[in-house]
Amino acid sequence: MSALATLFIANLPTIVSSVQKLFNVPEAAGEVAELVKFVQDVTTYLKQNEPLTTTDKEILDASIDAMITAPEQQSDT
Amino acid sequence: MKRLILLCSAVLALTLSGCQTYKKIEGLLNTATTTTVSASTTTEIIVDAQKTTRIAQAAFTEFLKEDKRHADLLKAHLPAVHQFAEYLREKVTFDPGYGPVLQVPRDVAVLKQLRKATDVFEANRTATGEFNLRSAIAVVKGLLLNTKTNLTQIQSLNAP
Repeated sequence: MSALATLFIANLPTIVSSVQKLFNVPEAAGEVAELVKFVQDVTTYLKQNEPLTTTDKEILDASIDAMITAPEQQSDT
Repeated sequence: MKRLILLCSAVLALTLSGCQTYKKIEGLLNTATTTTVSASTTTEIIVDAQKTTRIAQAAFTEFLKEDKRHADLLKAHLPAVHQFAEYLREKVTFDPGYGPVLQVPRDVAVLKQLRKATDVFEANRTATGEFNLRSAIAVVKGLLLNTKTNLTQIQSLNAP
């Protein structure tokens, strides 16, 4: 695990907790669930120790392609 | 006549020497581009690249979602965080290597570039491929570090 990845993952629980508090999100259960899933996903990715299978690579490429049209990628301008 | 012979010999020597030097450079360049990397190193770099891609894809997406959700608050209290989000969203050119050149958000472009470099290195395993892949990893890790810093900035808003 690279130092950067370790640093990133080490801060994630604090970040998630702070985001929850900051935006008073206990009501926004969907957002909390999403943040928790994000932490879980990153934790899973960090455990990877061999090259991805063809299927996993296709899933990764599809997820990158899906970013292009995602609402969060739309700029203010 | 003696002078002419000496001059011709000198020119011939220089030409041959030049050819040899050129051949040496060509050989070095060939070595640099065709030297294969050991299997364990190859696997290590490919795993690092894929791991970085997956983490960055999740992190960029999550960060940009947070920015969109709380845009007004972030613009008012942490404008630099919002500016970084807009930097990631900015359209840049990406050449997939086939078909037309694309205009995609910067975060997508760097991830696609990393995927492309990973696939090329996985296929040819040359020193040049390794260099290109390491460069692509460094670019994505730089943005990933900034993303983490910006998420930490959000955290600082909540600090007592």
